[in-house]
Amino acid sequence: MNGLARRALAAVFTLWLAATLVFFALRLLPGDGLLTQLIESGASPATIAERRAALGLDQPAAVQYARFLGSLLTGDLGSSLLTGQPIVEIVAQQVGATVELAVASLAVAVTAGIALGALAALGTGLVRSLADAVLAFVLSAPVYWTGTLAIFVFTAQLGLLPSGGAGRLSQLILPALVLGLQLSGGIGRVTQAALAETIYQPHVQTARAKGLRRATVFLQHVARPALPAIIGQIGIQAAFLLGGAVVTESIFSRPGIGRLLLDATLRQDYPVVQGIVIWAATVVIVANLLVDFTIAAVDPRLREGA
Amino acid sequence: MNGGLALISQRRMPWRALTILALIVLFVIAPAFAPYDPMATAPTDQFLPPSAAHWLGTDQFGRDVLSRLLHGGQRTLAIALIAALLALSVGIPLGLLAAWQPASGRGAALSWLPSLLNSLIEALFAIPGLLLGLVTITLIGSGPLPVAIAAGISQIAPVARLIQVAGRGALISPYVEAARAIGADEARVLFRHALPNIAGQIAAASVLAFSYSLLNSAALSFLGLGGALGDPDWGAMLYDGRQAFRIAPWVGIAPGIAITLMVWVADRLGTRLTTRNNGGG
Repeated sequence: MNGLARRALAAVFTLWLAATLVFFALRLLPGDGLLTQLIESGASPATIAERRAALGLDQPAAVQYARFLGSLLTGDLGSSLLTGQPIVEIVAQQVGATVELAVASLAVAVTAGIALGALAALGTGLVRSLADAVLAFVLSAPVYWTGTLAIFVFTAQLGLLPSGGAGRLSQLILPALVLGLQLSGGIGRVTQAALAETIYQPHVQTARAKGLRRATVFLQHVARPALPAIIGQIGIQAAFLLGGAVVTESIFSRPGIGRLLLDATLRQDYPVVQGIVIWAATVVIVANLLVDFTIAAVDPRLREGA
Repeated sequence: MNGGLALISQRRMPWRALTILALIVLFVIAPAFAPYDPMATAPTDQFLPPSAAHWLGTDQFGRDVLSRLLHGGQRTLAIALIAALLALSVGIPLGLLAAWQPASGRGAALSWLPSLLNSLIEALFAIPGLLLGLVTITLIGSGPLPVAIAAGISQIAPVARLIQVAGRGALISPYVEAARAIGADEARVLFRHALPNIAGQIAAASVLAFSYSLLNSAALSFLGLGGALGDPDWGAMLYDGRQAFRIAPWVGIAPGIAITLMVWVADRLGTRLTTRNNGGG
């Protein structure tokens, strides 16, 4: 457990480093660039001065950084350059739609990925080649293409499903399927590799020779050792999904963190960009930590070795 | 782990080299087969479906999709290559230095460096690739070159991590110990001994960096961040296609297939590299 505590501490350090990197990277923007944006957005000089003071932009970089870290500790991500709205509030408004899509597409990805991976590793002949080919396809086909294609077929031609928006279940089906199938590629490949590795282990042969039932051999001796790798992959993908599916949300005109980030990028609203990146990095780091804990729970060897 | 040098002399290497060469030739000569000028607009020919005159139809300006596809390959490839080169030229030294463990007595003054670089790689890795790309675009604006730079920066951490893992393995090998014993300095140990011995993993990382650079740069173009939309490139064509896919799906379908095929080929090349590296031990 000592090892896991050390991991947790390292995670906090990683998060601090990521936040610092983003903070200073975005401070490379020339200060006057911010002014121009505010002028372009139609703000009066008084408003601009007020906004700059409110955001602390009239302070030296070191002071800004200290303030930034201080407010980060209290869970404050700053406020939008353009609207002045607190970023935590903006993100909170959008996070529901992103979580909805993440859960639905992850369900698709896990089901399809494990099935395809298992078939590609354990199947024979045509089944095996077919599963392998499908995995290669979903790994290569980008969402911005398959998504457009899916809307064309299921909305424009067949009229079966709505092409976008959020709120109703039917609006979730297409984006969840498209994004989920793409993510099933990664889960499938990891499943395939993990199962292919364990299936030929001597202990599996021994278990078979002992006369154990096929189901028992598979679940206890083949599937279980393969589990940590698969859990790891699922955890990473879940984290990336919660960070916002920029492309999927754009294609299907869904609200969400990804769309929020894209809009902020286009308008160069850098506090919002910074806030979302810190949110995404936090999710990834926490997910990695959870994966470590879960794997340690599943795999006793790691518990002792930690 | 030591498969690096052997890789170059292996018998099946020519096939991979030939595949890559054939692809490059394909991209170089493709524009010659374009039936029309890819930039020529013809307002009366807007959104023509595929026909004998326009095999892949026309787009919103009446431009021939096939011609744009054949011309656009070079530009798309160039953007992905610039991105991959950027990712590799930063990621490889970063990963190798992060794998470095100073020998006792030598380089001790720099012993803090590897753990700092490892933390840096971890921190970069925590930010999803496309998000890192969007941060870059926020900083440097949109356009074809910014898209290449953004896609490249988003692949630095994955490359560095692969090289770090490979380098760590190479640096504990007996030949590194031997090199140190005969008095090689640390720079020589890293770049003359460790680096050539992870050539296989570098090749695999290159293929990976290229695939993701292609996917991410096209994604950024698709999101409308590619700037100059007149010039043919597959990402920009996808962007055009997205605007019109209900009435003219052919505009976006063709470049989509092209990108998928190219990533698939790269994935196949990469898979062979990795399996052989593991198998060849």
